[in-house]
Amino acid sequence: MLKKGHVDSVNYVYRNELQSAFTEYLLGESKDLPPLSLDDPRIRYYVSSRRDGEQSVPVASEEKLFQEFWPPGQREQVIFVIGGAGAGKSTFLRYVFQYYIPHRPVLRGHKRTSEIYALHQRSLSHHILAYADLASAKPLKEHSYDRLHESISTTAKRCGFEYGGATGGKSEDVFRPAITELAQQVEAKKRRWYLSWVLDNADHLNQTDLKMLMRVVREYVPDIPPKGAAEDPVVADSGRDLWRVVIPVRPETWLNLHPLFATFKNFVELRLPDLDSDVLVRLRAVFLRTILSGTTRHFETNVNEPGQHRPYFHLDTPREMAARMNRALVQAYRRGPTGVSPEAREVFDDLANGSARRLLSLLPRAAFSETIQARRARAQQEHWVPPQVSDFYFFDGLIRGDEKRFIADSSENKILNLYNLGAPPAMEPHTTFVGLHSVYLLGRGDSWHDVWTKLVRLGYRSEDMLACREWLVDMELLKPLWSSQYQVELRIAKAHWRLLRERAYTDNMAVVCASAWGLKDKAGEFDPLDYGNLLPRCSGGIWFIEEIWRREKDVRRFRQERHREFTEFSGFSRFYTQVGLPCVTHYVASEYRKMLGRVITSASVRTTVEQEKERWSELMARLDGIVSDAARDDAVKATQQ
Amino acid sequence: MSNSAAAPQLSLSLWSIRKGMYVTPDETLDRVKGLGISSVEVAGFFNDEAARLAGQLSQRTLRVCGITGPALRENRHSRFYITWALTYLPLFNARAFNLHTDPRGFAEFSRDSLVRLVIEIARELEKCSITVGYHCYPHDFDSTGGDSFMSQLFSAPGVPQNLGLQLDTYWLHFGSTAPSVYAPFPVSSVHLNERDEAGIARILGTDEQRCSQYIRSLVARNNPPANWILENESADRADDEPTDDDVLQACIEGWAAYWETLVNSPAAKT
Repeated sequence: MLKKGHVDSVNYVYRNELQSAFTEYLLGESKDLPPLSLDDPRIRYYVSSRRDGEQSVPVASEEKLFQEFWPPGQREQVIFVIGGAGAGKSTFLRYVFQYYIPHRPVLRGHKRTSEIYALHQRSLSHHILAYADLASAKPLKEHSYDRLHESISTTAKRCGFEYGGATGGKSEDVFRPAITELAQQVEAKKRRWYLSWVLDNADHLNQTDLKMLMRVVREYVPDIPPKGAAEDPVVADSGRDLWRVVIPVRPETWLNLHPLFATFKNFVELRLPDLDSDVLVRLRAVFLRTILSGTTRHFETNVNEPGQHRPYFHLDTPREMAARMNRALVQAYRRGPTGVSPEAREVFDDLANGSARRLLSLLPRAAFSETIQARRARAQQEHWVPPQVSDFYFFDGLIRGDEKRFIADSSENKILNLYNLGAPPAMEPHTTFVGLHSVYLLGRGDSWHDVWTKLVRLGYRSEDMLACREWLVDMELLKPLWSSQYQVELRIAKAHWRLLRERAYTDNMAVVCASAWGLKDKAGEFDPLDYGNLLPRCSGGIWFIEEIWRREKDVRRFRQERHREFTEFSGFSRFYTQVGLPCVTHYVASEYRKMLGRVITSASVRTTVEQEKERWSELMARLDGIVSDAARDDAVKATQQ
Repeated sequence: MSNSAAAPQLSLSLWSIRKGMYVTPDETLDRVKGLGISSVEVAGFFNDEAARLAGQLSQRTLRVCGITGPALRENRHSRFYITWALTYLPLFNARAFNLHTDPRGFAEFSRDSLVRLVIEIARELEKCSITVGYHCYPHDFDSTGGDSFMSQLFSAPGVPQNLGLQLDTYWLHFGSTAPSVYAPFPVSSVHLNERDEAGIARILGTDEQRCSQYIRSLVARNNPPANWILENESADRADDEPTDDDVLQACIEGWAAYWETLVNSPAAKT
């Protein structure tokens, strides 16, 4: 039996609190952050990349954006910053405007006494940045104009303009005079200004609202490029009045609304490169250490020993705690000897899907989970051969986090229970399989429309499809586009399909599904760290696989009342084969059997199993039976009732 | 005999009600106050800022009879514990600092270095009139292969007067430690903790062997422990199960009567 003693685990309550603090800090609105948030790890990412020379790509982007503002030739007025969800568009813009532009001469190696430096500083004093945060400003009619108006009003006040714009601008009618007034003020001052208007988080708007916003912008961006040489920065008596409108856009929106964007005669697109997640995680760990070290909240650890009714009490100081959590975070992301297996890391990366938001939400969940920490502590204690945390424990930590069981609707959770994405009643076989089949088809490259059409023909109810779609949208596997179309995040779909066959996933979903199906006693919660629980845990897992197999056979069965589109079994069977759905049970059960075969090679597990040899043999025989049945059936055969 | 029949003040270990302290600290402390408790022992800050917790206790006029520090570890110098004590004890207006070594830490130390560390800490804190209690676990009394750590500690040269043991009736029973084993050593405080075989908290004195036998000898001392701290909580109670409130209340209400039975028992009188 695996001894749990001497294992430090991060306190549950503390972790929750910390996680919410991080989420708030990292994903919160920019206005809550200090103006030059160099403590923010995302901003640090760019600074560090530049200084360390670890990543040259972000440097190229920031300079490119700068060139668009002080362009060497033809100037564009609308700059689209294109990047996926969570790619760091807002952070990049904050970094450029708050850090790079003000410090550019120094960053470019110009001395503070140089002429270029002085010129740059002068030009900066004529740069007006109107910032509007459109996050959560939906629908546009009700909120966005309010935000836009607020940005104009704040900017005018900051520049000392006599601005008497209408207050409470909640509609386009109020907003339009406001922005016109600001433009007139710029002119009336007889000084020339750069006016940059950053419509941050515009990509959060749905595509219909974004189209409306473009129409507004369209009126204030002149088609004719400004006159005069552009090489010199603007100065008080010979400047240019330029509107620079910066609009973050997602790639799919860029494609869909390209005809609309292209109506701007002067526009440029700037594509953001992917963030280097290794650098981001390292900086986040440093950030974590920084903020924790400053508190007097201690880190409490209860060390449990088997056989005792009382844990040992222990405290870590904030500094110690910070160092430990820093290590845990970095190690959970490290591939290879002291981290996780390359395969597990690949699944994790696909779940994160290149999004910093998803990465920073998923990683602490795994890193600070008791399962992973306990296994790592034990691996270090006993000098285990790498990797220190096996895939089973890594995925168990990722799936459950700190909870005793998987919780599907947790706001931190980015993982789906594919067995439970349909509409009630949960006992219905099609309700169980709608998520499994949808995600498989999406991962294969089908569009949501195709998936819907195929699965409805195969007997899935519209209610199930709608419920499933809602889950997929919530978990960012599908992103709504315009005209009821959806962008499929292929990597997330594939990662889920890959996760499906993991033993940790089967064990965890067995517990959740047993409860949802009103059969709680069939698969109970058992601590995976305790080898003594292996048999009851596997027993629950194998019951679950049997149940899935029963349901899968039912889904494949032809019933005239359900499959009305087909007049006879052969048509249904042909279509089922044509869709090409694999046998889920075979996919899951064969891997489960293989993993149990591996687990049994461990001496301590063998000892446990030896004590209940007959029960173990009976379980394995049941599992072998399913694997063999399902393998025969994996040629996608539909059956007739 | 130095002990009168009047029971000494009973303190409550906040660690034993930590579930409530984490989730609803205000309500939990109000409840503690409502139970008639006026002195508590602090072990951990329940994820709160230390100063805020100190303020919450002060608001309710809950005196802090002692604070438990981080476990002794080989990689931490005596300065670490001294600084820690001098930082947090004044915050809580406390004069007693408790040390302990969990099994992992205990295995890391050589006995000599552990003895040295405890004495160094106690000596330095003696200058500030702080009492140091060493919380005893079974390994501290284990004499397999020679003298126990406790024997080594108190036979070392220069043991300061402010150093005493913090006994815990749960661990004494768990380690089958006879009262005679700790009889030679000074005891500064006691954790009163009685559980049945399943780990469920019981009213103090329910089973002579699990609690009373350890206290009886202390009651009779000329220099009895300064702090009697109730630390009765059940193990592994699920969130939806009844709490230990009833047992806690019964222990507090019955403390005076329980004390009287201990004082008047034949063992105490002898």
